[in-house]
Amino acid sequence: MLFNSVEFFAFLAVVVPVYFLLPNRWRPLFLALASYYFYMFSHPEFGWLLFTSTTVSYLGGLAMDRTAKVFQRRAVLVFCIVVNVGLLAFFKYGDLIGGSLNSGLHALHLTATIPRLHVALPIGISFFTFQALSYCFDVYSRRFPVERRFDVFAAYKAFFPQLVAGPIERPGNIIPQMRAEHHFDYERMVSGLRLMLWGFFKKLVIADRLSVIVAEVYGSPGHHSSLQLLSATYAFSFQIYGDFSGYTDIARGCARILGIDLMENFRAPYFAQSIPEFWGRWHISLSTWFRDYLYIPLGGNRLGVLRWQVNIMVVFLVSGLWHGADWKFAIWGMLHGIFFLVTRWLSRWSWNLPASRWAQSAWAGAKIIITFHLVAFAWIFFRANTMGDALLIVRKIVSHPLQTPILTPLFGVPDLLVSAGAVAVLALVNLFEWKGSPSAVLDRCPVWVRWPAYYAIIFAIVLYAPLGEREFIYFQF
Amino acid sequence: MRPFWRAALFLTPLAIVFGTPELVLWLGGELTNPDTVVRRQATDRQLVLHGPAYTNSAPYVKKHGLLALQAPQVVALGNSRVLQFRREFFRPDVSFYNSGSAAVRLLHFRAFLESLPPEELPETLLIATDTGYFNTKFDQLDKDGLNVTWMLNQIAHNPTAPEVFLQSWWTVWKDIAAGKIKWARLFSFDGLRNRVGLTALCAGAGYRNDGSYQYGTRDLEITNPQHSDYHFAKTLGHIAAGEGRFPWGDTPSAPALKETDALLDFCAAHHVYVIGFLPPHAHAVWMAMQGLGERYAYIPKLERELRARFESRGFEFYDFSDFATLGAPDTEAVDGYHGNERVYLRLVITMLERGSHLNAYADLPELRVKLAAGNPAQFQDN
Repeated sequence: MLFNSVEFFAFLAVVVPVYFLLPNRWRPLFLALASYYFYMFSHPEFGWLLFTSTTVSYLGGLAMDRTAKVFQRRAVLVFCIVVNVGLLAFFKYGDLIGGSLNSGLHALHLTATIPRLHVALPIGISFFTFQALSYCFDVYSRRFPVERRFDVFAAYKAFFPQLVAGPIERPGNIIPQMRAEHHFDYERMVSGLRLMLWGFFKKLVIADRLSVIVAEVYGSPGHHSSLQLLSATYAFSFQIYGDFSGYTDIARGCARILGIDLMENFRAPYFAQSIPEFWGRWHISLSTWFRDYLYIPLGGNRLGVLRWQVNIMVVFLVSGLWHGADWKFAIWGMLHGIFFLVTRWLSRWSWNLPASRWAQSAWAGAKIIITFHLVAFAWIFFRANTMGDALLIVRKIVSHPLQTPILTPLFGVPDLLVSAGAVAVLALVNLFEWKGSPSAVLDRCPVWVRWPAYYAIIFAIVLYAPLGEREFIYFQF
Repeated sequence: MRPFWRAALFLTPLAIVFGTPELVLWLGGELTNPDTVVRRQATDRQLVLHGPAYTNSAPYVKKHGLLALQAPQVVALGNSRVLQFRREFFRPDVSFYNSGSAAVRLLHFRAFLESLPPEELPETLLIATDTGYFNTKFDQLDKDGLNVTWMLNQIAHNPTAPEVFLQSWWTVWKDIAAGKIKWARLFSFDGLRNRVGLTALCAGAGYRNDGSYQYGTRDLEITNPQHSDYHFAKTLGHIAAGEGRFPWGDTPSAPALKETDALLDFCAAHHVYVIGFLPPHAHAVWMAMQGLGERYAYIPKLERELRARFESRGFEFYDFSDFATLGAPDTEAVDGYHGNERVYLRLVITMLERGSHLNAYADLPELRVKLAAGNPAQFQDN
């Protein structure tokens, strides 16, 4: 079920009152069932997958808790990893692995071919797999006690607001909240609805509008000028941010209405002054997941400079492949890894800049612009339909940077102005977010400021959202 | 203020701003799913007039109307200039459907037919070869790739209620301000029954069960000073300037003729008998075009080219460009571009008199009686 569908509003209108009317004991079970309904609404065939991952992880947690022997605990952990990662690998990477092996065989002039699986990718599998793994790791390392109630665990694993596109939650944050008693709170509901409204604005007015430009230009890069490709690359940078952070806001708002606080996933990422800072602000739940469950177990920065550099590259490579079963995602991850290491290397020197406030601000602004452009450059590989397209786009932009025409022959000036205005609103709110909390700023405003702001967002959505339900980009991961 | 009242106060303006057009759209039948309309038009004995004001779901309805009827024997296909062929022109045992408005450009014909399962194709196809199709200034064939994609999207897309609301709520407010919404008609609830859509409900205009179009009575009199094309003044202006639907031209477009060949070959290959005709203009309009001499030189050439193409494949072709050839007075024009259903009744009668294949489906003496009855609104329901 899509957040931006009529069915979702009907679903929420039923789930919220029933949830608060039920005794606390039954709420996790109800949430789990509602979440399965949400998940299976459009793709009932994948319900078993979520249930299998949940059951294996739940039983694995119990088994690890029953024994103190390290070997046995480790064996159970490995089993849980194999099942969860195995399902992910089968559904997501089967064709990538098969295709790559076939290319290798072809290069060796061997006629044997590995048949393609051609299986549909279950929505949200990367997210709920990682959520299952974090539970298994945390129980194994005794960072989190085992959860004995299956309904609570199933609700944690399938919690509908964040099931298909995150944030990737940790058991330590969600499970205690699932167990706690929540009472209907008007202020929480208003706060949740406000966050959802902002999320819908980001998704429908910013991301969906920009997606039209991006799809047109990236659909046939050979037929478009370098300025069009450049504009579409900037557009995609804001599209993916609006789309993914919009989803997160809707998810967090939705959960907040139910009394559950999900973790923050974005914090004004395009105001980051370096790539390492960018990753502290972009998809925070994923970057912290990789930090805790991959980077640190690999040794982090404790095993020397070379090993640290390898660890960083491994994390970014895996992060790239987590996003999609295509080598262009691996390139995207590797680019970020290289940017990350170069930034750290450069930061070893002091730059002896003038101490004046103006110079400091100008330097900070320059770093923001440079970081944004590095991120936007990497997005080319993320968004392009094929690796060949990505290289063509880069080649055209670099070799003829000012090749006209611009976007106006393709799209109307009013449409472009609306999109630019929406991005400007996003940047303004991000500026507040960078400095503090836009929500707190809004709360301090009198009602005659707040309500017109809400009305303006509602009208912007109704007037400027393109027609039709568009999936969120991160559903494909 | 207590939370409930605060929430109520916040929501009230939204309820008024969005709720009012939602109510108008719902009561007017604008939100009725086209599939429901198709089903009811195919099964109801009573007239179900479909006249949405804010969406163009006609191509979708026409395709699915055809599929619902399961391969009617005779189908009229084309733009608005075939829409006056009525079910009543044919014998009761003959199944007929008017797919006018589904193919408004030349390339749409073949694309529309190809979108149907082969077993759903009709026995006989009536097509109006509008002169505009063969004039590159009007039917921009270089953009026809886009046109066909647009048309295929139209026939595949079933507009949902939220889409209809989102694209029309502001226009509804403008129409309310302009006094176009008839509240008494709205609250008759006919929009939810047999006058689906605000044009059908408020103006009595829309697509009938057989797919043909019924104009509202107020549109019928060309002699009414309120008519937008009063005595063809607007049309004659377009002819003098070579604008709108009346562009000048020397020769018929070669790509358009090639596409006609492809269309006729497709029909021949699928055993669909095609009857083509140049659709009628009011005599005053036609004379104005003739008066410009060589400006419209492509039309007589087109007639020869098309006749040769149709007849070489064993099909029929007629030139009904002038009302006078049908014995129709100019008062039977809807406007400078369209004749009313009496003109099309005359057209069918003329075909039958000339020995058309349509004799297998129609009863000439009975049609003559219907024409002699003299009621210009005999096929209307208002």
